[in-house]
Amino acid sequence: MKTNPPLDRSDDSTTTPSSVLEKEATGTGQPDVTPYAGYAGQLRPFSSLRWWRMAQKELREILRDRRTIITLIGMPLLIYPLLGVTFRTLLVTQATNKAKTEYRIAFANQHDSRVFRRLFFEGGVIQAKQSGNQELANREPKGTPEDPIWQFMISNDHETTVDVGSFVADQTAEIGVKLKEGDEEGPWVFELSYRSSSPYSIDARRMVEDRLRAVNDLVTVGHLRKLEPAFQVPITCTTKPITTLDSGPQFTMASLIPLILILMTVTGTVYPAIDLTAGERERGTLEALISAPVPRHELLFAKYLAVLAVALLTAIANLLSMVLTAYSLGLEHLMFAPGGINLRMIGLIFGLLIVFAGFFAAVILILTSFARSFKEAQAYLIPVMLVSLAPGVLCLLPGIEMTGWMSVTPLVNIVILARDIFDGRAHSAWVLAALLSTVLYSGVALSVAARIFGTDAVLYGSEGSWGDLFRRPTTQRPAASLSQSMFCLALLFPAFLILSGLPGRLLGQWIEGRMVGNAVLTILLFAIGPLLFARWNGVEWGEGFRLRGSSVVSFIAAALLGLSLWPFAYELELQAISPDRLEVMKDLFKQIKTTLDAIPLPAKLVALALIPAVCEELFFRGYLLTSLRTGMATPLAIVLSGCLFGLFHVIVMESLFFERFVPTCFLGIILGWVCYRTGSVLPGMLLHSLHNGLLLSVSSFTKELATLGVGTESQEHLPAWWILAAGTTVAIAFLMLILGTPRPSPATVAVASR
Amino acid sequence: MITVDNLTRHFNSGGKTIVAVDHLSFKVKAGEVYGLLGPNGAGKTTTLRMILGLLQPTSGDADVDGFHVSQFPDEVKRRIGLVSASAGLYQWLTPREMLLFFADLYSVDPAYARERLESLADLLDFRRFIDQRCSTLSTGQKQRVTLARALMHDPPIMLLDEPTRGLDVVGTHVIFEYIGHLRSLGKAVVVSTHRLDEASQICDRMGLLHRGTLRHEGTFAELQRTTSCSTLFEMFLQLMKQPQQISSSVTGGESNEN
Repeated sequence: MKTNPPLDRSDDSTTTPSSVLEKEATGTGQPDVTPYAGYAGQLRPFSSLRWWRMAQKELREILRDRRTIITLIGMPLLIYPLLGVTFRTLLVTQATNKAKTEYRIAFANQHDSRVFRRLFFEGGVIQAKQSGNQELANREPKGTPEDPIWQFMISNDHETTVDVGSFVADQTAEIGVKLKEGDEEGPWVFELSYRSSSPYSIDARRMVEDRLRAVNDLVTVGHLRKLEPAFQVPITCTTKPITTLDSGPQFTMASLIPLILILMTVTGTVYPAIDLTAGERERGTLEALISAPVPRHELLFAKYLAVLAVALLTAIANLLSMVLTAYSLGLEHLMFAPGGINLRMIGLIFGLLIVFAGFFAAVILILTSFARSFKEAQAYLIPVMLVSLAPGVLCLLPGIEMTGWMSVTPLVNIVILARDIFDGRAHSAWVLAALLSTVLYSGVALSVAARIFGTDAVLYGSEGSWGDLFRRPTTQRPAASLSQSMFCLALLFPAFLILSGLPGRLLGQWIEGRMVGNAVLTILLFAIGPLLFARWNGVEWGEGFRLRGSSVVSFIAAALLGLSLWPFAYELELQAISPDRLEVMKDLFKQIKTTLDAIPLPAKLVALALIPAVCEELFFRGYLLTSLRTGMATPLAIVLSGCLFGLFHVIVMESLFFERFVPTCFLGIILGWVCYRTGSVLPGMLLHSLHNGLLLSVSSFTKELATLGVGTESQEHLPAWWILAAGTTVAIAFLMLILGTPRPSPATVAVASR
Repeated sequence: MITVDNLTRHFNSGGKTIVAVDHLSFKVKAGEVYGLLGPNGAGKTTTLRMILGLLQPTSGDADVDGFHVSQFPDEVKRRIGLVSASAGLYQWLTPREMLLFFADLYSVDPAYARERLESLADLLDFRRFIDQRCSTLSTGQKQRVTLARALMHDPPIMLLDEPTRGLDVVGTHVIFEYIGHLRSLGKAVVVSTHRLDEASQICDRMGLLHRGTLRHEGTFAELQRTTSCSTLFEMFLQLMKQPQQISSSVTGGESNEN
């Protein structure tokens, strides 16, 4: 039963499947020397989805382990109901400890108090009757003994009306009542103020509402009995939540939830991570694994996927258990934002947990890859868990906001983000920064782990090799490795994010200073930084940054593209922008323009067109693209570098300009292709500078252009003939590049990998 | 098939440099069983690990089937089957799952891998427990699975590191048969062992390793001639008594010899 040989095997025909047995039968004990005809196919680093099958095997192994199942399902099933019940008991004991809970209601004035109390008592009586306690209901209109004590706070003065909100805010009262509509006769509209952060106040509000609803219900039933179709419900309540952030740290259950979730996800990653790395080393299977012709980073990646999968399963089990507990114990209003819990929020939280688990699994894999035994790995992990707890608790304090440093600090940013999602206020520009930086850090951590995993130092415990890990390479390499460039990116991104706001902060309105500051920053971050980093890693500048000459045709084509691409970028941006947003942008640009008008054009061209163009080309196309090409197909590398280029342009001055993403990506991809095609970063620099310069000049010559019939500020579509002319020019430039430059050989960078 | 050329490995331990393997050179032909003999700490395991590319040599290189380990580590690994006494099994997988997994790691065609699994199950007699979890297997059963694992990708070269360590008479006999089988298939086999009694039975040629250097090499008869000793045991006693040749390279040793 012989099937067609799949792709995996290149020279199937040379070894017959039954070779072992045949030779066994005919073997005479004499050496029967045959040339090797096994599996020496060409090098195939990523043989068809093997990493996926490897991850499946790791996952199968880990899921058969009973200990995994305990942490995965047992723990969350136990911990949330337990926590939930404890929390409830706490609420109940709080109530019974005082013999009777005391709620204080503050009134705006005496009149409001009179109206409200009459209805409130009436509601109490109705409730008592409904609960079947006839005796009590007859006795006194004060409610049942199970009811809490209600204290009413009324101004002594007949005339004054007080601000009940302030009483609620400073915790003098739980509820503030204000009569908005209605007099002695109904219908009435009450406004109930309460502290949204206090379960106590929320409970009081709910009880008040229940009582008033009882009155409504009775009236409604009465009307219905009389078959009156049109009637009005006598009492309407509006609620006014009062946020009290400055009332000191309140460690409610809700504020602990993000931390618990994150800790549980961490627990999910710890056991499989140890088991699949240090555990494998301890059981003696690692040597056999490393002996196979599979790159170590592929082995580690499969393990990473398995750990991530277990972490996510843990996260799902936790989320489910938590939500179910909250629902069944009726705690969901106390635990979540005013809207309660909904699918969107669960989805967001789950997405966040994916990012977080991805990060934590990578970090933990570094440590467990270092370890040579289970015990050693545990010893490494305990301090890390404790250390990671500290920022987690810290960001539960009120007043900690997701800005600047917080958004790029690992772990802290995720905890804050989780908290904000639960509170329903996660929509600042920093969310993107937090997510992106976490993803970048994960990538770096993973590449570090891959470098450590299975090294002879770990495998055989030789001390000499530890230093090798951080040793500078002695030989020059033509391109930065993928892990090096990712490391550089992970340093650059937060630095760019934080430092780009600095000139504005330090120099205020001094526009010339800011411009120079920004230019210096661009040079430092995108040119000098990467150049030094590459030098330290032994990367040749000429090859690694594509700093070399190119043909005249390349430069002419690049210049043509630099002059003709902007209409397309402009139209793309126009497509992406919404009318409201357009107004905002127009104002902003008008502001920028008026401040910039004072500066002479040549200075602007150097600081805002030339320097950014040259430095960005050097980093994104020279360093990053060349490095990306060592690890992936060229088209993918070009698109990825283009997208990263786009992302860097989205975050400007602490706000997001998503409109810029598509046009900048488009430009980045074209620049990437030009660099690939010409083999040099220089034509791209020319293109980029011309493009930037042209846009700047256009804004400087608004009046002159207006006479030509082009309104730059009206944000209209460009005249069709402009697009046509530009399109023709672009086509000519592309043709020149395709026909006029030699086709780059794919092998130019492939050798440089790893 | 295998050419080891001036292979040297230093280890750092507590600030001192230890020379585990010192300019070691030897050759193994196809269909030949070469014994790497020596006491514990002679550098046998380190040598095998360097041939396989698991340890970076400090200097020197090994050539396997025309490929230099330093340049084409994966091509070398593809051609080698490793049997190590310290190797473990995936306890939550069955032998079948584990062997097919390893076949996949070596890019063996899945259909062929299944056929190969069947034939190896007969050859090494583990069909009875092929679908049991590895954690439930006995030492002898585990040994058979480990031996099968090294052969799943039908490598032309086999490295056996102390294959009989910790095995009883039956287990040792299985190893002897296994090595005979490998020889009959024309594989180049390197066996490291400190069990001198076995070596003369299974090895075509052998190299006597002491403190990282090769002291004598040849067939058993040749060794007897050059050392004028009748048994390997005597040869070793003679070696041990010799004064150290290079005083700086003290106490050769593998750091991880259990």
